[in-house]
Amino acid sequence: MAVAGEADLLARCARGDARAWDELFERHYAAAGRFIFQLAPEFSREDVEEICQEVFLSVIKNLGSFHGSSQFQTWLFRIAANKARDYRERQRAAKRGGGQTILSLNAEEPETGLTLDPPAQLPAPDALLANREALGQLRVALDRLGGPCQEIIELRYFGDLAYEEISRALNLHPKTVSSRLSKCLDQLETIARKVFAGDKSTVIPSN
Amino acid sequence: MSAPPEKNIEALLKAAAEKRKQEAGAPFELRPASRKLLQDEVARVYRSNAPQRPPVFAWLAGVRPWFAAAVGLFCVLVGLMIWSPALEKAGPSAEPGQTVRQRESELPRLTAAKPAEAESRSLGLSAPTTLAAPSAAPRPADEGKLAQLRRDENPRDKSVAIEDRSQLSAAPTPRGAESGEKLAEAKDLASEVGKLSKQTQLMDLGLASQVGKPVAEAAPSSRLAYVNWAYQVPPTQSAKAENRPERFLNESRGVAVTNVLSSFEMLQVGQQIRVIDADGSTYDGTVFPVAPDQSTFGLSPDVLARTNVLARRAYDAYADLAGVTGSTTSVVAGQSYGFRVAGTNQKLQQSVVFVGAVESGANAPEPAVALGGIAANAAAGAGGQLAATASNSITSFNGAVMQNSLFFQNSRVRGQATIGGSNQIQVDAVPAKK
Repeated sequence: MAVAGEADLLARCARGDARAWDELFERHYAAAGRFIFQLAPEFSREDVEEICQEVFLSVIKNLGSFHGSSQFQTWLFRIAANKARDYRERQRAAKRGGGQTILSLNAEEPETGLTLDPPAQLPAPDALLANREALGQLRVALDRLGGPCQEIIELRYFGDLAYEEISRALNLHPKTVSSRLSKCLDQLETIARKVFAGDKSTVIPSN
Repeated sequence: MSAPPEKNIEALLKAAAEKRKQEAGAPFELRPASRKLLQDEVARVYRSNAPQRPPVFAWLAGVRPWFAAAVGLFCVLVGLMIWSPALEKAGPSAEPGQTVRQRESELPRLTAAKPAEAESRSLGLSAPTTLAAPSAAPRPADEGKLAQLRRDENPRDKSVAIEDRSQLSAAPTPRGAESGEKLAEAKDLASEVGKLSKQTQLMDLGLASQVGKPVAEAAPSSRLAYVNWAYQVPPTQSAKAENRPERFLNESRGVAVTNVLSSFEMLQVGQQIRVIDADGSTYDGTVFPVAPDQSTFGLSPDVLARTNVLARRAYDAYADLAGVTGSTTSVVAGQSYGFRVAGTNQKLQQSVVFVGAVESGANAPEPAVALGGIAANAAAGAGGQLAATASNSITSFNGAVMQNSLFFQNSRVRGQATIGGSNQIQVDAVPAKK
């Protein structure tokens, strides 16, 4: 019944019905936001809203590519995971100095004679503490894992999707999903050991 | 630094997810600004696919072709039903009487042209001398006929009624101080006649409304009453039989080129005249009196054409001055009459305008033939007596009394016909031998 209702809703959306789109936003926005928020411990609510906006813009543009082989929410989460990853990469690039003005640390202030004390590129102390926490290190481990394993793990544990739904979304057999998820978890654990061992270079990008 | 999880990565993932859920707090809600941005994007992307209001006539697309054809046929039939009566009235096949009635209805307008008398004099027309002044007052001789009508309470014999009415209306016009008295008398007579038929009631209304008024004022209403009365009178069978067209043969050269008016028939009813060409084409027009000295046909066609209008104006102007209560002219033996007819030649599909005159022959009958319900007396002038009574073979039309055969008897028709606006032929026709 719900599937049929969702199919009808998506059909109306495909015809450009604004009210259908409003209904679609109401149905999936909160779930998408929650999913995105879990993907990274550094995401604020504002980040999530920005990512969500990008996600739904992508849905609007690419709704025609959704053929209904999986649930719409699964398709939405996959888009959200990709958008969140892109967002984090942009954040990292910004932290590496992209788009920032290069200042001389030895230059004195003309009026006061004091030298500049720009904010450090490293996380703040509380952030460093947070990064040392398990969630931060786990996020780093997931980023290192990357690829299909990262996606299947995110969908399974942050998206709360069942094996069957993941199998439909990834066009895999459910048993294949199960075995692949097991292998991915093993890989993640290996990476996480290294991260937790103190390999900071991977946690905080160096200047 | 926390210890790395050992074989517990799955539990760590679940714990991390649960922790972030708690940190998320309230459910995420789409902000209005973001919603507007998304809706704008929807409108931009799906502009061409957006559901539109169906066109007003979109339902026609679903109509079956046979139904559309039936509706179209119905519309055509309705159109024909609406237009066919109008075509019957306006077409050349319309009854001459209908045309005459239309002309009669136009008379009040034409009467307003007072200066026409002077124009007619400049052309040498003698309309006033050939037109008598009819009257609404009955002669003493008519009272006997009215008494006879009064005895006949069943007015089925319309030919008798028509004859009496024509004689009644042919009485001379009272003038001066006698006008009111005679009008009253006419009113009484009209009342008597009005008891006999519905038609006379119309006449009664027309006359009674003018009692006590000057004759000149009473004339238009009396004329109207007369016309209304006439509309109700169908022609008798005998009249129809008598009013046969007269056939003419054109003896003028050059006719063979066009075959127009090489031989034709002429039919006159009242002031209306119809020329029926050999190929069946009909040209309708009016006839008007022309002074004898101007009936030499030396007049140019345009002058003859003007006489069509001027003669009518001259008559109407005279009729108003003299208190004529009738609307029609009379035909006097020996008098020549101009005419102008126009129509379309069916064979050539070109317009034909035939302007000419009917020259009465020397053997024409002596008595004047009433041609409009009101006898004229050229010698007596206004207020004169009826010059002649209607003949036994009456053509009753528009209240008129005339004889087509007498009108054309021993006559010669001369004139000029213009074909297609440029080609002109001369017509000099004599009655065909029967």
